[in-house]
Amino acid sequence: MAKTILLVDDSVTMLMSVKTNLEMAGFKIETAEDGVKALAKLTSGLKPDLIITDINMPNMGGIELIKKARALPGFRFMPILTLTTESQQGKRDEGKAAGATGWLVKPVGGADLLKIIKQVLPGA
Amino acid sequence: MISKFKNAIGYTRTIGRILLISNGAIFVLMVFAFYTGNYASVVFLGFSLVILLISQWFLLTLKSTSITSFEDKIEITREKLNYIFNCIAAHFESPNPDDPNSLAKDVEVFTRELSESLTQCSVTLTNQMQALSIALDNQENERLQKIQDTLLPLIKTLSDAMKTYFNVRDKIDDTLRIQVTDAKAMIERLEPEVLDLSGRLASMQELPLFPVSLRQLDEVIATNLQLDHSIYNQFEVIEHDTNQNAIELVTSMQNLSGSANRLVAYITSTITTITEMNDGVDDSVQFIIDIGHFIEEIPNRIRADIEQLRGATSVIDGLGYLVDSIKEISFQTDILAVNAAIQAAHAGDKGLGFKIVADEVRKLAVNSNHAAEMIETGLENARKTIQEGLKFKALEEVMVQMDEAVHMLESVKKLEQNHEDMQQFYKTLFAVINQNNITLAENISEILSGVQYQDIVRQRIERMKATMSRRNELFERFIDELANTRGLLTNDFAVQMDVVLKDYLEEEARHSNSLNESTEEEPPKFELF
Amino acid sequence: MAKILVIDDEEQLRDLLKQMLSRDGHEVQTAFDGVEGMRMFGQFNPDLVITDIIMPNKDGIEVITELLCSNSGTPIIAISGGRRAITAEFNLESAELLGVKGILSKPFTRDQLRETVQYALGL
Repeated sequence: MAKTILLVDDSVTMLMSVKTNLEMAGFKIETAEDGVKALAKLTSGLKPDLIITDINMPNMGGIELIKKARALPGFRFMPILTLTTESQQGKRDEGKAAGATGWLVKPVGGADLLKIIKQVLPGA
Repeated sequence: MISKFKNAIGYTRTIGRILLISNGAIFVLMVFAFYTGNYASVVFLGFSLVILLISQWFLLTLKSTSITSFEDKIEITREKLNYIFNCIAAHFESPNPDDPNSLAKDVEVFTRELSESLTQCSVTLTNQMQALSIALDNQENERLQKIQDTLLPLIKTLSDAMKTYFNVRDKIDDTLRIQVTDAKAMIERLEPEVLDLSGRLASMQELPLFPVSLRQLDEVIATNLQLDHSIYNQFEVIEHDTNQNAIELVTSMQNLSGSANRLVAYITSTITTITEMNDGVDDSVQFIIDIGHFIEEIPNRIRADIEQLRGATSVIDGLGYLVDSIKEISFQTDILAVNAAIQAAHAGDKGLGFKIVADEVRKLAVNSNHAAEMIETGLENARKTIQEGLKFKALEEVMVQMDEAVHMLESVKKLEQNHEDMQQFYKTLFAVINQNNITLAENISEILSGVQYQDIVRQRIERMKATMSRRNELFERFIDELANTRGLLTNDFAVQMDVVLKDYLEEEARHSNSLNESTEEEPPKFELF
Repeated sequence: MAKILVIDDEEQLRDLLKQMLSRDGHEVQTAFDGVEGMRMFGQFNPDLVITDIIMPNKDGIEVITELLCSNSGTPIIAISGGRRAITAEFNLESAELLGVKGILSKPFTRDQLRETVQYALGL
């Protein structure tokens, strides 16, 4: 069974590139343009194996999305990675406190991204 | 009549006082007009004064006329004066922010207006004087009292306005003089720096330069330069990233097309091998198919042969019955011949001819028997031969089969080798293509990752845009305040500019930057919590 | 001097290679097929692997693929003589495309072997 990954980013180019990349590696990809849309997908029954989210987005940012997703039933232990241009420690701590599994700084090469995903998604 | 005259005298005294004040007022107006350089007004007022004096002379004749719209005119004049006064006062309370030179312009305008008003005022006064004389003629006491009441505050207003005007003018003079002196000193001190920055000040050059604002301007510009520098640095980062990204993309593309080309060349070169192998396989398969057909045919052929032989045997068997019949016939013929010979011997000579026939018949019977025996032997031999032939043919068949089997074994072995080769070949081919696909996928993946730079650059430019608009807003407020306060700035724009710069630098520091990785200890690009 | 693992099903060639390489000062271990070769690779941890392509049980292509996928970074030299329709050229070209450091077509001279080994070892 192909693992499902939910990608959240307000940049269409970002969504396109990562989606294609991960689909080539055999993942099933769902996308959302901001936290609100992502949360709507999660509450309407989407249960991905991994969430990869941007931090700075309109309507609802990544930190808030992680907090809200963690509060949903069944999302307590789901791996959630960030993929952002934010690299400072302060923001990372914020992400960690919100419940992020790991912090990725853009840009991430295709092979690197797969390696990281394999680390948080054993058996993928 | 006398009392009437007395009354008239009393009136005259009152009017005389009024006229005296009016004469004074007109004189004051003349002085003012002279001061403001409105010589036409001077002439006019002089003319008015003359008329007034003439009126006074007329007044003495005590000719009464009716008073018409007298109060209205006074009211209008008073309003006009009030307006001018208010304008001047208002101007000093809140200067026009749009035009730094508005004060000078306003003073000019107000002066002109004032002089016009005063001219009108004098005209009105003249009219009033005429009206007054008419009133005097008509001896309307109440109305005269009213005119007196109105004229007094009018004149007071007038003189107040004059006073204010002079005060204001002096104040403006003083302020300007001081400020210009200060500014000149400041300009002399800052001239080199100002010259240096003059290019950047193009839009602000028209502003009057004041000490406080200049200092702030200096600081603001310095901070702005720093901000420009930071933004310039970011542009360098963008340029570097874009360049790097483009190079990476091109390299990946080259790798991609390299791999693809190598693979195509490889596959093209393997086509010969594939063709050869296929030909080998085809040959072996055809051979096996042929043998298969042959073997398939063998039982049919044997069956047909056996059928044929069986037919031959049954014919021979049929001939055997025939031989038996001949033997039977010859035996019976022999008996018949013997009986005939006995009968012929009984007949004597008469039967001699008959005896010869009987002998011949007997000979025939013997010969027939002999022939039948010979035929039988022949048939037996034929049967034997057929049987032996059948045996021989079967043996030959086996021999052929054996022979074919050997060929087939070879073919099968060949086919097996072909299969082995093919397996090896396709396994190798698959391994190579698979490896190449991995390389291709990696290259495509890296190319796709390159697209991420678009997002990074977009965000970087957005941060620049936000900072730029913040700075421009600050500039606008700065210019506004410069114009409004004439340099007495209430906000410290240098500090605010510094905040814009610091905010921008902090914001940039929070985001990944490909150029300062080596200079600062950056948190890792990937971290698991 | 390097540790070299030689994988070849032909005993004669195996011994010849061992002899040649040992004479140049290398430490040589040999294996008779891919399965044995991979087992030896784990134990011996060589600096260089020289493998034949066509072998029983596990052929050279499989050995090369496995070694490359393991990311050990150990350089590989492929040697091949070809068999029937599968030519030496095809085998070696395939090995090269897979990413081996050097190729040797059977038969080869001692100098060719030495040169290829030196290149593969980055000397």
